[in-house]
Amino acid sequence: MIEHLMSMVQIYLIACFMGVHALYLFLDSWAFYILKSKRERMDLTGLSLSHHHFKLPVSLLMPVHNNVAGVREAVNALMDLSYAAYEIIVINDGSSDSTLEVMTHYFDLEPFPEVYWKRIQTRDVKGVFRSLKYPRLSVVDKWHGGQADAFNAGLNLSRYPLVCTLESGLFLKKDSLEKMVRPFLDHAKTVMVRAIVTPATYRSSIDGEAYDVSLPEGWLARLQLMQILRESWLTAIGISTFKFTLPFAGFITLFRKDSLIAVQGFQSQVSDAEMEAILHLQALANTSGESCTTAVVADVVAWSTARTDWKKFQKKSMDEEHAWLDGLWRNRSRCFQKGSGVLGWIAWPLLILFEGLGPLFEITAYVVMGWMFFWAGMDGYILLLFLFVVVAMGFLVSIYALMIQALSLRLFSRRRELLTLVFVALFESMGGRQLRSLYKVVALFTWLVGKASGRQDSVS
Amino acid sequence: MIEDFFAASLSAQILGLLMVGWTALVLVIMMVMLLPQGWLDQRSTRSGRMMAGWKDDWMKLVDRPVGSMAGAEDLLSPLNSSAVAAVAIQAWCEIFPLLSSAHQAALREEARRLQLGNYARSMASSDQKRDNILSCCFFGYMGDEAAIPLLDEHLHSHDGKVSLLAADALIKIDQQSALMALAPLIFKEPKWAVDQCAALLQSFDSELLSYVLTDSIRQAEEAQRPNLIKYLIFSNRDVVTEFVEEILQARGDDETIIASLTLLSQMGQQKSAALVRSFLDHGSWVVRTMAVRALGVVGSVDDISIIASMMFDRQRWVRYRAAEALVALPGVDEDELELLYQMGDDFFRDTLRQAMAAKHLQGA
Repeated sequence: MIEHLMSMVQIYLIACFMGVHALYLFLDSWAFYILKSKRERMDLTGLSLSHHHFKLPVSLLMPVHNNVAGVREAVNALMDLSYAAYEIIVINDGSSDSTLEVMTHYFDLEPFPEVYWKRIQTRDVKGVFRSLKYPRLSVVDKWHGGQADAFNAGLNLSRYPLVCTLESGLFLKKDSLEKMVRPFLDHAKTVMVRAIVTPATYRSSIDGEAYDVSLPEGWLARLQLMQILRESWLTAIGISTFKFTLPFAGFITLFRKDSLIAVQGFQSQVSDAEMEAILHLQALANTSGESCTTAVVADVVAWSTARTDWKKFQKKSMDEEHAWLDGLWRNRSRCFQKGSGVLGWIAWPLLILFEGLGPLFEITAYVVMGWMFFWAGMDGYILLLFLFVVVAMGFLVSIYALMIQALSLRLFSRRRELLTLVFVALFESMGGRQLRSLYKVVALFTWLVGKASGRQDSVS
Repeated sequence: MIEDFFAASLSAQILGLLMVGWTALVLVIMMVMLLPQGWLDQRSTRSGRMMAGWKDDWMKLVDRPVGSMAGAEDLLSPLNSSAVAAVAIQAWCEIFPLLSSAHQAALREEARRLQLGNYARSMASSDQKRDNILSCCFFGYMGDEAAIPLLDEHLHSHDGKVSLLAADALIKIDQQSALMALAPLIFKEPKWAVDQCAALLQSFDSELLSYVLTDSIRQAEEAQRPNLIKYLIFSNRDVVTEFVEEILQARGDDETIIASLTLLSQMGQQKSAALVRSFLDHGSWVVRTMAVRALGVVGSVDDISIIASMMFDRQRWVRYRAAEALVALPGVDEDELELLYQMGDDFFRDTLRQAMAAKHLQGA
């Protein structure tokens, strides 16, 4: 009886891992098909120059907090985009260093006593500044309220119908806005567009052009790249054909302002405000009778510097994981809601299952299989088969994703880069992914402990 | 039964076979990934070169000296397939808007001689959006009246870009019939975003647009009117001023009045000042806000005291706009503003200071 039960567990675990890999292979193949059919439209950029008057103007919102060293470069990188109508709103989110003074000096800022429309509540604004040197640039100086609060302050001040939320450290490609605005042109009721941001090493010229773009330095950064490629980009591109966007990492988002305001902007009390806004907008698109839609641009529009410092990476990853779990938990009621469509009945439950409980399941499976082999007399061939499915199939999925990016997205297509990434994929499959899952389980437990103590605090 | 399954299938040979299959798959993927990079690079370079070649050819053709004996056949690459024709048309469309009108006429003439229109027609009927977009562009620049039915069809395409470019092409070919075709798609059930509709309307002759648009507004339901009134900014000013005054005199709903006053403030027709003044004591504060703003544009120095009195309105937005109106009023000098500044309360002074800073910034 026990042996029978053990065999059932073994088959179940092996089948689950195979199922997950098969799902990724299917989504990647689907994404490849989408990319192939979209590619033919990409080479019409020359025509768009003569039809720029159809394009909607964009407000770029960039919060800064104690960033004396990088603020000048971050703002400069936005100055020379090849887009006719856009404004840059930098939100100084209560910096205690001389970030504002540096901006005032370099961009010739002048106080501008703006009385603006406070459509979304934010912490008090101390002042608004306009640049005498760059008419596109405005700076909002406000009390510290966090990133979401800063985005809301920028949203209140923005003049244009589309808003793009940026983090400092991003390097937008010159034609990024052209590409991101395109879905709004294709479908008048698009409420949100996401486009790919890739970690990379690059150098930038004085006129704001990135060159010498190559793989990010360091194995940690390369592992992050491999993970985003495998689990985020291709999945997001694949499911976007169902008019569907989920808050995966590795993207930048352009919102329709009216819709963002309709869902109350960014919620400052939650840990990942952008994820929350994306979910609200996706729900709005799902439930609106006006056939609102969302889209994913299958093209790189920005480069980011990957985290290479292990300690910083650890802390940031833990924070992000907690924020992600917070988001999943907070939105659990979206599952199986009447009228919630694909979001509520398929995507959200699957996401909770994969992202919330997936790592715990994976680590439990390793422990159970190990226990069965060492202490319950499991056949060595079954263990080999299990390892084959976990490691070899995992590697296959990774290099398949790599092949698709090399043939269609062409983010990194030089042979040397590809071979490096193959080794990264091998390392990822033989330990990297398992370590990450373990890390996620730790994050899950610390999150649960935090949540329990938080509940006790609130009760007391 | 499960034990049997394991016993039968999990032999070393089966596992070995799985490994062999996996290795083969990995090798195939690696080859597909690594080998065609050169080919892909070559292909993109080749298509880039082909496009650049065609652009050069078109430029050479329109730049050849008057009386040159070289014909199109000598200068252009042969159009030996529809794929080549598509590249030729794309290059043609990309350089066309960059040329002077004389050169544009020459380019049209060459396109006619090479019968590019036939290729464009088959591209218009293709199910590839890229081809549809190119053909719409081409027909628009060519001013090809025979293509109107095809463009009408694309006007109703689900793809926003195709329909917008079809609309743009129709406007380029024949404004009158284009306006008839576009009116329901812009005025009744808007197919595109407001900015895009505005961009299309901006391309029309203002006189022609005035009559169609005013008619549409008269026939529109009350809820639709405010949106349509906004588009009147692209119409003939005299016709519009008269029409907007007519609307304001009818004292319709607040939204219509607000849109009309906003329009008057954008157009700056001074003869409407008396009518605008009559809305300063309206019950809705939003209407008062727009009225005082409009008076700042259409009024004169004689209105200083009226606008200054609005600085004490019970609604702060009215007071804010009144400050802007005072600063914007034609003929008001800094001394008068300074005098008013001394008279007001804190909010008055703050808003006036902001309005002055904004004007100063615009001047700078």
